Amino acid sequence: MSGSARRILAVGILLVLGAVVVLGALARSMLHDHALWLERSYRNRWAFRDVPTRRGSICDRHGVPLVRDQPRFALELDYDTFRRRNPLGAAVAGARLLWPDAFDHAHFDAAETAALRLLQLPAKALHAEASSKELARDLRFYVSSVADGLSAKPRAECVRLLLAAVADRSELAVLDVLGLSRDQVARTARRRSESLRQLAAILRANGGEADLGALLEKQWDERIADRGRLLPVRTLARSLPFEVAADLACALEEWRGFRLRPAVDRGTSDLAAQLPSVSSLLGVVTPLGTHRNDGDRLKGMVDDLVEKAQVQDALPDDLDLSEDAVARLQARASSFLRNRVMLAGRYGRSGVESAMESMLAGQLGLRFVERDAHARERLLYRSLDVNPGHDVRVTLDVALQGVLERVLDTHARGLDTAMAVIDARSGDILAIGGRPLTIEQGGKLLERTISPAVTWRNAGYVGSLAKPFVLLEQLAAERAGLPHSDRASFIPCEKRYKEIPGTPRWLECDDFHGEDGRDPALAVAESCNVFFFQVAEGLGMEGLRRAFARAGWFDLAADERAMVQVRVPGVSGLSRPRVDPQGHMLQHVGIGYGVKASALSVARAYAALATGRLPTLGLVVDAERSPAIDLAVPADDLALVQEGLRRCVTEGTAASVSGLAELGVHGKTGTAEVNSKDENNAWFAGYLLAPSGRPTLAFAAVAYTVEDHGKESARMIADFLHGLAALPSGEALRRRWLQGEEDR
Amino acid sequence: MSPRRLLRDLDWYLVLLAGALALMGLLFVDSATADVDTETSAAGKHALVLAAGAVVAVGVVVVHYARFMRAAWLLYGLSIVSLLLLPWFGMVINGARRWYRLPGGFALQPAEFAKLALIVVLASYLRFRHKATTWEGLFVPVLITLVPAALILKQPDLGSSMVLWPVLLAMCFVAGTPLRAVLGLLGVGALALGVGYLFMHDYQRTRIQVWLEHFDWQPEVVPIQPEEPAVEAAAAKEAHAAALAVYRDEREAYDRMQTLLRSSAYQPWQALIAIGSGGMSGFGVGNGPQNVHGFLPYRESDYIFAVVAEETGFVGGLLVIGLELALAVRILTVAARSRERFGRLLAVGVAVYLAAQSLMHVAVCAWVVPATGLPMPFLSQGGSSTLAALLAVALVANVSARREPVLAADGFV
Repeated sequence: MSGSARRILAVGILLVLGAVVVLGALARSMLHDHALWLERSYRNRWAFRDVPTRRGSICDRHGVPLVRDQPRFALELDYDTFRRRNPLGAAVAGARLLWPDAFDHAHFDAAETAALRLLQLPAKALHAEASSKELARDLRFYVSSVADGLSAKPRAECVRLLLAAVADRSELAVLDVLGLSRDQVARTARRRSESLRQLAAILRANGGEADLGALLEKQWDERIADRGRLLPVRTLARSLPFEVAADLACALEEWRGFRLRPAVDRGTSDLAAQLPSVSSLLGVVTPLGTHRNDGDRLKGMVDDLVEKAQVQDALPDDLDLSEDAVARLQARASSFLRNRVMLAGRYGRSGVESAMESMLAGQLGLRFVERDAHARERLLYRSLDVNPGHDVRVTLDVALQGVLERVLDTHARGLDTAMAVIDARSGDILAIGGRPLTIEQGGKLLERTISPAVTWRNAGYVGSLAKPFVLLEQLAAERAGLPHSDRASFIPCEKRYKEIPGTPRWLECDDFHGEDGRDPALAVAESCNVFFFQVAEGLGMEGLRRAFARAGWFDLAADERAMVQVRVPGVSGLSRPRVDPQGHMLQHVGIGYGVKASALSVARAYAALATGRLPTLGLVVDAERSPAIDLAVPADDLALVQEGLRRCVTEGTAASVSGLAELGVHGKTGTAEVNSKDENNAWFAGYLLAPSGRPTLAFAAVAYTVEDHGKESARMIADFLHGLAALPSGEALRRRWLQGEEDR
Repeated sequence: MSPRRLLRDLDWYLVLLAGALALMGLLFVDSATADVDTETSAAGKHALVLAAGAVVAVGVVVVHYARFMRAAWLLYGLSIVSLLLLPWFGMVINGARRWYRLPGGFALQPAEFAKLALIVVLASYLRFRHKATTWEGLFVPVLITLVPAALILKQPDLGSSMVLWPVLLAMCFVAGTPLRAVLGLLGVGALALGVGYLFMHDYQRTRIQVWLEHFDWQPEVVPIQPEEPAVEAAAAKEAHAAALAVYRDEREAYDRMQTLLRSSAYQPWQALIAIGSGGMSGFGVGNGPQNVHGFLPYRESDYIFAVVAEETGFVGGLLVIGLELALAVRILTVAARSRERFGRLLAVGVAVYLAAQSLMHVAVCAWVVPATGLPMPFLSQGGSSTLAALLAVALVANVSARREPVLAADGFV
């Protein structure tokens, strides 16, 4: 073999050795580490996508929507894209490289000026020789973005022309290199800055970011502080309506760095928006994790959701992966779902939304897809079904509620009022509300987040509203031989009854009732204190407790059947009625002192007087409810009390309130002193006995701390009923509630 | 020489091997560009280039190769001029000015032809043994190589300029340059690389840094987002603070890796995923997820081997490398059989050019060397590269077909 041939052989051997080395590297990746790379390949192209769920709507008893999920759009800012691709963002970023303190994002005009100054730079200023390699590179990038964004020239063309001019160290301005008209560019820049200003205004007007310019500036600072790390996408507005989003979407090409994504808003229907008490009663829905105190509760909730989702079901069975890799994939799916639930999940924080959370909340769906490098889905492997939330129907009637709200608006000028109307037989809450809608705390006006008429100051002393129940107990005691005073021995009402020991004050009545005060029905109608002082003395505290238990305000013993309704599903923050005779004389307890109840509890108690059965209140249609509790009193006794209630509006304390008697209202005024003689809880409670003889509505109205003695509250009820009678399209309602016709 | 004799004496193995590689190239270019929505299919364009290249190659085989030897300096001069004119007339793609725009959507990359011209001129220069064995015989070839290498580097095209040096070394070595001189040159080259690092573009330096760093990632590191430690009871505050510090370090490393995998490490990492996931037999032609779903950038040119490996697995990769190597070995056989130094050196240069470029391409795809754009001869889409490879093989075929003893001086034909 010649020397030349040997050398050729050596070259050949070297080439083969090179090939062996390369093949060795390939064998390592392709054979030894194949499983690892295969998993990486899967992770590259497999993606989990969530399928948004719909939270159930809340409708009134007839199916009229009160709140529902409405499709909305969220606007997001990807600052890095804004800085790199938006001509105004790039203009400020680029100009700051040369003139650090001259420009900022906060002033949109500054961006306009920065863009023009950058484009007026001579091309040679973008050469590495003019500054440094890094600075020149960054400047070229930003200038290209500005030119691309403010002209019709494609970016590639701008870059090509610019690089050529820079390489030539051209003295020409960038504008001239690119063949752009100065005026045209200035006009475009002005239009862009104007549209950015408009975007800022749109955000402000739609409850989004209050100061877009300041936010952009803050993002710049964060980027400088954490160089090299991509900034997270910021949500600028969460709930843009379609019409606003549609306009934005058309112009988004001009606003690079901003993007829209579908969102959902818990929207109140137009009808419900006119019923301010309802919004409060239904409560609010907030994104998960937005409140600091959510803490463990949310963690548990999200864990439950993820566990319930059975994420492993979303993975194909025939994965060509090791068990460890499958476990990692499952963990990733769980983690994804958890993150999505935390990001997209919402929950009811108060009211019906909170109480009916398990029904209303849906469950996110999950899709396991194969995607390409542009995040486009190419194949669907498996999916977890999305479970929309169930609709909830509340017992409220929007028509009745509307009347009630108008009555409250009319009567509650400066007064704290509450009003509740229920179906006397079923206990369905038909309308409920209160005023004012906002409260002041520490000189600051707070939005009210608690339900009116069931919390706040609603559990007030009921005063004389207790008398009908005391009378019922007197009658029951007489029949059962329980301790009581003989009515025949009652003294007539001379206004003053007895002196309060140790004080110059007297136990007295508001009026002189004479012999009438010995008539139980009239005593109820006229609210004669002297009669009830004597009843109380006979019944003693035990008897009075039995009386209040019958009203559902007191439970005699824990092991007996509960009369007090502590919870009404869907109503959050319901105050428990209380009987607290501590500090009150027995006689005073007999006329309702020490007894506190909400308007709802009072309406329930008076429903019992109408029907003889204490109903279970309910706010959600079809929700499981305990049966009504029989008062176990003879019909004669009940009729006597009902007669007293009838006479109250015909000739008693509410007789001066017109419009009650002709509609068949049976009721009772009640006054409870709160602070002094001039500050009372003025109540009116009762029920409507329809011409058909059926009790239909039970109601209670209260005005807190007023001088009035219940007449204002009685007028509220009268106005409510007359409002109902005058409803333009309320024939069916009138037939049902005023005429007492059965539903067909 | 009569056509019949030419056909009889032609090394048909060369034609077969080159043809097989060209067909494989057509297949994989078609697979790699299946989702590209253009008026003319990329594979069709590639086939057109192959057809045109075949016609030109026939012309190259018919003309006696000694004519190329005579025109060596002219060819070299033309290639240098074409490289020199690039800054003025060349078009910029991805920040590099490497191409002349041609009508019909074609482009010409003079660097590919400069490689061929360099081989011809080096063979022409080194064909005299007395020149090859002196210092002058080493110095002048280095100078001849340095000019196009520098011009190509300026474009910038580090990969192509790197291919020239193994060609030079091999040709000098076969021409008779003492081994110590070749090794010395190799040492100087290594030193020049070290110094050259300081003058590299930022992106080139970053590629090298990331390449060095990536060895620490393999094979066990799959970036997993670290979990923030939960807040413990007050008594465990110190432990929590320590856990938080560890978490922050991990988080920083994770973020850095995520940033790299999205930027400078994206291409080689995606190529590695494609190669590694191919396994023994691959996903099947046209079914490679990295290819089909577009995760692999420049997969029809700079990363065509990654497509081969992903879709046909280790077996397919071995076949392609085997074919490239077989072609190179066959060309070296032609060199060994040639009785004339110009033809022998030409064949050696072509063999090393094709093999070195192929192996470097595979090495880039497998991230054995830092990422750089280098087409794989015959397989990658790219008119200039394919045409240059075809012409190179045609030149060697020309040499193989003419085995008569010739004088190692001008005027022997």
